[in-house]
Amino acid sequence: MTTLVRAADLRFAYGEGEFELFVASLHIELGQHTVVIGPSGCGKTTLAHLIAGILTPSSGQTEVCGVGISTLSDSARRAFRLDKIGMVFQQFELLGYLTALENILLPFHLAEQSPAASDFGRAQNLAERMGVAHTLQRRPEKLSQGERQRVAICRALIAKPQLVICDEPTGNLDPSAKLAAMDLLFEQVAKDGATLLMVTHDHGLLERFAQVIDMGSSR
Amino acid sequence: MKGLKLLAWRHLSYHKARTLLLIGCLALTGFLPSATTALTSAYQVNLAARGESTPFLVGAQGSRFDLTLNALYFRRAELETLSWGELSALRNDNDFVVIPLHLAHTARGYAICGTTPEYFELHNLAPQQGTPPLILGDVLLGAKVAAALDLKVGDALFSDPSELYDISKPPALKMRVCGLLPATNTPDDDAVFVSINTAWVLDGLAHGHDDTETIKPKLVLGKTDNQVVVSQALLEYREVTSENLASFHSHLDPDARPLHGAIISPAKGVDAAEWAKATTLAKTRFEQSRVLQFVSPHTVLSDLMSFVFRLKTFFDAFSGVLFLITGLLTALVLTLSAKLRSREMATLHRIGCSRSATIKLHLYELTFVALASAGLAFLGVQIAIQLLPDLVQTL
Repeated sequence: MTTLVRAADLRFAYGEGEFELFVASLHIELGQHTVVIGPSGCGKTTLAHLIAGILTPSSGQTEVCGVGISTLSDSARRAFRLDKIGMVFQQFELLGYLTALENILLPFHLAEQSPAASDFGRAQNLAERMGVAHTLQRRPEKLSQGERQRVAICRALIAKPQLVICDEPTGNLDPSAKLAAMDLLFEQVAKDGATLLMVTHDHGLLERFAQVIDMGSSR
Repeated sequence: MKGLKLLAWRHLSYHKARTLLLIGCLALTGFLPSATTALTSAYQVNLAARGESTPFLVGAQGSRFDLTLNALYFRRAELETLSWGELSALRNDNDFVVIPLHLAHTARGYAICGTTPEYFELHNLAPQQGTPPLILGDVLLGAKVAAALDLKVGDALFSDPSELYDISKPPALKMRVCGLLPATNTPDDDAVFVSINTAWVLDGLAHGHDDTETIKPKLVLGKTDNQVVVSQALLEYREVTSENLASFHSHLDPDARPLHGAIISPAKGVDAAEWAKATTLAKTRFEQSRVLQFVSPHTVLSDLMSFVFRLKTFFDAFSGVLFLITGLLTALVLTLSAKLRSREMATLHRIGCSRSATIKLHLYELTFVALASAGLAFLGVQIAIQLLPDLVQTL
C-alpha cells in the first residue's frame, strides 16, 4: 500500500516545558481511515495541525502525499493545504455572511478561482448526499447544528482532497445527528477515495476506523 | 463577481448598516470640500458674468459694495440717492449711455427696478411675452416673479405701500403687467421692472388727479393765473389708465428727481480706445467728487470674491481636519473589524488561505467602500452643481 502520511521523530513544544509532543513514527496509508484519540490536552489537535501544516514541528519530518510539508514555506504550506487537504472543525467554522452553497465553494474562492459548472454540480451533489440540498441558499444562522456540520463536511470534500482531517467533528452534535453525519462522511470519503484522519474523544466511533492512534498511551 | 471579490462584497452586504454608515461618512467628507469648491467657482463665474455685463456704476458716496450689490442684485441696502441732474455731464457726453436705476420700492416683496429701455438692451433682455414697460404704470416681470405670483400679461400688480398708516405717504399703485421676461438665471428673474417715471410716481414725486377746472370748488383753496392750490382731500389716482394717463404730472424740477444709481455703458459706435479714454476721464472727475462715486462692478465683485476665498481657505482647513478625523475613525473601525474577524481569519488560514489573499480580501472591501463613497460624493456634487444656478441666486 502507498503511504499518504508519514511522520518520524516529530517533536513540537511550546512554552518552557508547558507542552511537548513527540511522535516517533506515524504512517497512514492511502484510503485508510485513522482516528486519533486520547484525553483532553494530550496533543490530538496539535498532531492533526502538524500533519496539515498549520503548525510546524520543532524537529522531525512530516510528509504528506510525498511532500515534506514541514520543510515548506508558510505560503507553500497554505497552498498545499488548500489543494490537498480538507478540514472539518468542531465548531464548523462556516462564514456567517456566505450562504451554505458559497461556504461549500469557499476553497475555490480562496484560491481566487471561479468555480466551474462541474464544481457547482459537485456541490449540489454533495449537498444532496448529505441531505442539505434544501439549505444551499440559506446562511449558517438559519441552519441547525447538524446541517451546519454537514455543510462543513461538504466544504472539506468539495475540492476532492487526498486527505480529510476532522477535528472533533461530532463534538457539537446530538447522538442522532452525530451518527448521520459520520455515516455520510465515511460514505463520501470512501467514494472519493480519500484518506480520513479524525481527532475525537468519542470511543463509540473507534470500530469504524482501520487504525487507531491512542495519544494517551503513545505520548 | 468571483473569488475574494465575492467574499468582500458578501461581507460588506451582510453588514449593511455598518457599511452604509462608513460609506456615508467618507462620502460626506469628500462631498463637503468638493461641493464648496464647485459652489465657490460657480458663484465666482456668476458674479464675474454679472459684473462684466455692467461696465460702470455711478452712485452717491457710500459703500461701493452696497451700491454694486443693489444695482446688480437688487439687494435692498439703504442707499443715499443722487439726482438725475447730477448725471447731466455724463448724459451729455456722447461716449456714454446713462441708464438710471431706482430701487426703493417693492411689489409683493419683489424689488421694483425703475429704469429705461437701455437697461434691457444692455442685458439682452427681450420679453418673451408682451412689451417692455414703456407706459406709465406698466410692469415687466422677471421669470421667477411671474411664476411665483402666477401673473400673466394684462394682470394687475400692486406696489407695496411704503407706510401703511401714514396717509400723507404715497398709496399703493395698481400697475398693469405689460410683459414677461424669459428665465435668465440672473437676478433679473427676481425683479419687477417699471419705467423710471413710474418709479417716481411710486415715490409720490409725480401723481395724477382730476382736472382742477372740473373738481368741486370747495377743494380749491386758492387760485392764481398760473397756480392752483387744492385741498389734501383731493384724491390722487391709484391706478394709471388710458383715460387718466395724461393727467399724471410732477411738480418737482426734473433734474431734482432721485435715483439710487446709474449704469454707465458705452454708446453705440464708441470704440475701445475712445471708451477707455472717456471712462478714465470720468473716473478722474468722480474721484474728486465728494457726493458721487464711479465704480467698476467687476473690480468690486473681485474684491468681494477675495473675501469669499479667504473664508473658503478657513473652510478648507476645517474640511482637512474633518478628513483627518474621518480617516482616523475609519482606521479605528477597520482595526476593530479585523479584531472581530480574527476567528474568521484563523479559519481561512487553517483551510489554506494565503496571507496575500487575506490582505487582498481586506483591500477589496476597502476599495468597494472607497469607490462607493467616491461615487456618492461625486453624485452629490453633480446634484449640487445642477442646483447651483438657484443656489447662487439664493446666496
